[in-house]
Amino acid sequence: MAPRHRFSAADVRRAAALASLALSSEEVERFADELARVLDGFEWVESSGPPPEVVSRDRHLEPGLRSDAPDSDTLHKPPSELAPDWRDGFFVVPRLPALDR
Amino acid sequence: MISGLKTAIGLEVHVQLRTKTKLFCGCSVDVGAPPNSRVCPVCLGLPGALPTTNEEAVRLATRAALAFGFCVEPTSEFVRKQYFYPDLPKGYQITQYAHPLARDGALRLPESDGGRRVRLSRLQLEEDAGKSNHDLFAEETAVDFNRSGVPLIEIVTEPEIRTPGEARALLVRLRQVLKHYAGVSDCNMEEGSLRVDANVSIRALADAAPPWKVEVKNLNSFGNVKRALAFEERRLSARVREGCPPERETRRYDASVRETRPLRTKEEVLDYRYLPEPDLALLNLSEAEISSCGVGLPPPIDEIEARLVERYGLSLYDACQLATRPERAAYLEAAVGEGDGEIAKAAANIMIGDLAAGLNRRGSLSEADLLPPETLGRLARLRTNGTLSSTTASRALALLLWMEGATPEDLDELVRREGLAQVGDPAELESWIRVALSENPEEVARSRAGESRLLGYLMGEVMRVSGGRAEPKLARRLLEEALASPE
Amino acid sequence: MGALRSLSAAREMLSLGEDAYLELASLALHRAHELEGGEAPIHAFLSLVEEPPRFRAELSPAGGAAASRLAGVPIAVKDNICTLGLPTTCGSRLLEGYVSPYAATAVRRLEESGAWVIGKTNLDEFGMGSSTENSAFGPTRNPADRKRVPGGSSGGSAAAVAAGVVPAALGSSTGGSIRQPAAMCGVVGVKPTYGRVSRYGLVAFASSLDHVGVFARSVPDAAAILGVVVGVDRRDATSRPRDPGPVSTSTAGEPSEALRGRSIGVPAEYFGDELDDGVRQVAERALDTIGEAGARLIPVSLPSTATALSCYYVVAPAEASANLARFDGVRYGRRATGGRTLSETYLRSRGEGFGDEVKRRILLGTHVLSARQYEAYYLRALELRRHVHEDFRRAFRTVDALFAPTTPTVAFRLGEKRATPTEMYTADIFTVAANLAGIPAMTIPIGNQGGMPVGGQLMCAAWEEEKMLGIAAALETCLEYVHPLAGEA
Repeated sequence: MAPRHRFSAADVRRAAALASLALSSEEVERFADELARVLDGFEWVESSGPPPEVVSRDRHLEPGLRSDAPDSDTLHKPPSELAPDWRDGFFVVPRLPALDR
Repeated sequence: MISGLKTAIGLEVHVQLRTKTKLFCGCSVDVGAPPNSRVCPVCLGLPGALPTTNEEAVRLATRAALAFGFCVEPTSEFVRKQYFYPDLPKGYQITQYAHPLARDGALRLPESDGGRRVRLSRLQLEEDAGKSNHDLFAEETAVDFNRSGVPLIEIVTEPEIRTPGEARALLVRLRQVLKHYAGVSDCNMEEGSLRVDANVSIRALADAAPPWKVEVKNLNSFGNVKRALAFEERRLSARVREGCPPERETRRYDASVRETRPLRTKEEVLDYRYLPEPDLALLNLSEAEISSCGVGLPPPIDEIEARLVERYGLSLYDACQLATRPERAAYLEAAVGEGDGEIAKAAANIMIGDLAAGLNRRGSLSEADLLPPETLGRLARLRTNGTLSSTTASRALALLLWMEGATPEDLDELVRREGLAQVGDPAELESWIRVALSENPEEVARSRAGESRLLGYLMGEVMRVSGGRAEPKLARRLLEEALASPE
Repeated sequence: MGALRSLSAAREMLSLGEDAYLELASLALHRAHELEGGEAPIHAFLSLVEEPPRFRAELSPAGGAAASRLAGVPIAVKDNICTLGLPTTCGSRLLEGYVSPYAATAVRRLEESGAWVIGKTNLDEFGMGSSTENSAFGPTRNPADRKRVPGGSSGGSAAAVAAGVVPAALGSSTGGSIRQPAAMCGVVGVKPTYGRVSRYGLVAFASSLDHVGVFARSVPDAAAILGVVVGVDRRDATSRPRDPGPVSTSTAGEPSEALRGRSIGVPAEYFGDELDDGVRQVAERALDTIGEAGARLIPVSLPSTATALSCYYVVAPAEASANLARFDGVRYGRRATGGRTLSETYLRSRGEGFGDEVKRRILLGTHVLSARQYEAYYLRALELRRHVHEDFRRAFRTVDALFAPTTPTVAFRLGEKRATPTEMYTADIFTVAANLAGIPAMTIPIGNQGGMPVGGQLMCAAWEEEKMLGIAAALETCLEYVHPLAGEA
């Protein structure tokens, strides 16, 4: 199991890209080292069967669906007061071309 | 189909469900409202906010699934699909992945497009993102979250569509079912309540090499779907012929130049890191709940078409025209009742022709509101038994539509009062013929001199003089006799 | 100036009317400010109200209305629980100055019952930590010894109660963030059953593990606060649509009667090598007391204990990596300046806004959810989590409650474990299992080691808060131990 627990600098960079985190090269090295230790410390028991499918939560939890009636929680401040940048009713961000999602 | 190459097309269709509120919060669905005015902590993704599932969205999604014969899963699961985009407020979309709401549906292409059955692999329930506008400001992208959290279903077809034309036909049919059969969506492409992505793959028939695969986005009308796919088919075929190694890419259709363009390739690898949504329980639906979602659902569109063909001997074309909405077919059946095929064909002709035009002019959708089905039935009967000619039948219909809700008795009265019935009395017919011939002496002379094609013209004159009431067969015979006997 | 010792003392005072209300409020605020000053400030609070809300006569305890159960009582709230008016920063630069436009359900319920929020308490950034040293706004110090940490992540709430600023506080627990600091500061801390208290308005760290809970200086006080905040909430789909009855400690007759005939399980795995000897001795004395009060002590085994921590450090970061994706600087919070492109703005806003521990967990969570690692880590962790559930289910078939030490050691020194994340993670070793299983668990002070408080943990089956609180109240009475207020030792 040991090889699986490695956490390389490349792994850190890849995760940082996916998570949109700017990291300095010092941070990349440090986190790779620290996280490798975390993974090495993991104590696993061998799987007793195939990986579970839908078992992530208590199956008995009732769905608790909501009826289709307007019932939104009040915003005590308008979005414009939350926004770091706001213009003419819109949140604005640095322009980007129409990107693929 | 381009010779020597095999095209396979798959579609992903996103359809907005007709709910009052969003999928995971109680905000009103009103995408035309002033920007960022239909928002709350949940759909803005504020810290601490939690989703709660809209029951009606689940019901409509299930109904849509049943309308396509999907297997609705007793347990399905919401997941978080993670990526960063400014109009995606939580940094993830709540959607479904390993356990969608429904699997294994199907939709048959119209007979006119080959009638083949196309499998639908899955139907899932998910939330929409907000809307980014890249053109509003010079240097910034503007984001509106009114649409954020609006309920969508995504329907995915198997890549079994063979031509761009089939893709278009399938979409038309899909929309008919969603809008008119299941009644779950407005399916308005302009307002974004129906959106289509397509993927095309092309491979050489003889070749075992992996296919060229392209995903095309931004297809904002069915016509553009067809055009974009045709463009891709041509473009990819050329690349395959040139022997280029296959690639996968995502492109965007630009309707203004009728071309697809590559979307900027992303530097990082896409990895959505799906995570079971811990804020929501598994979606459990009992058999009773599932079947209650299908209450009142009409039979599948192709069954209705087949019935119209079998029961009344309508042409496939007519049947397709009438089955676009289930209530049209039901209206026809109510009008014709136990009547025979002749009456049904006459009724169908009226519906597809004058009645459809009349509805159109009034901006109305419902035949039954304007003309009770019994009245249409009577009109068709009068037409087939020869009481009304096509001209007088049209005139009668115009008057009936003007009356709105006219009964069969009203129609009878109308025919009497307006004198619309065909006239087969030889004496009266001969008097009309005499008038018609006296008004066209030159044509009569030429006809008698052997110019036989003028017979049709003169017959038209007789019908005109009779006000459309002359029984055409007898009138024609009498006209021929009159021309044959020298004055 | 004096300190607020208990809820009943506060209510007694408040029954005297408006003047008493104002006096108590100013006492609490004064005490709070006192803790922020000096050479080694406790720094329990990240924000404080300027003045208490207007006195409402209709809510005075003399009025007797049900709505006035906590009339006039000042409460401290952990700064990852949304409040109107005061900022909700989560101890993060990224949310510095962020004022939520809506309030958490638990806060609303407290306010509806007449309580008022005096201030927001310090925490490890987004609840990620076990010492409150990971706050972007400086650490909280332990009132019992200012050179030591108060535990975490709800260190500010624990310290505020321990120092007598407020009789009670709200905190949150994802892996032990209520019980661990409560134990280290010498107060009562309760993490209820998952779903018992709405999470709406609690800024999510790991949604399937997050709980809102309470701190107080006695079990009855904790029960009183909990009784106000529990209940189904239509805005939290994981709050249970059934409410299994009130939370109370009402025990007829002698409180110790609640222990007679009870079977108390003692899990062997919680008394292993990791356990500090001093803490072990205090815990064993508490076990003796439990036995003397007529309860049967039954050795039990929870084999999943060893792997529970690993499981926790996969599930929690995985969920955290998704939960913290919303902090992108688009709609609220801090946006880094100078980013030329959107992607640069994202990278820098998050890179500059989050602290080291948060980054570590986001990276870890992103890694374990990535396509290549998913099965090896995330799915495996889910399976381990099932084992944790099963262990508890098996144990509660034979025992009423489990008793164990809350933490392996007393509060450690500031800076002692900061450099080694893996060592810091072991501070949660006795508390994560109850979060993974969603069962109710609490800690009460059971003694001290060299003046530093030691906590004893009780765990019960899901929804058995009433039983758990009854046993805890009895034990509290039998032990006759209350950790002294800071400065009164």
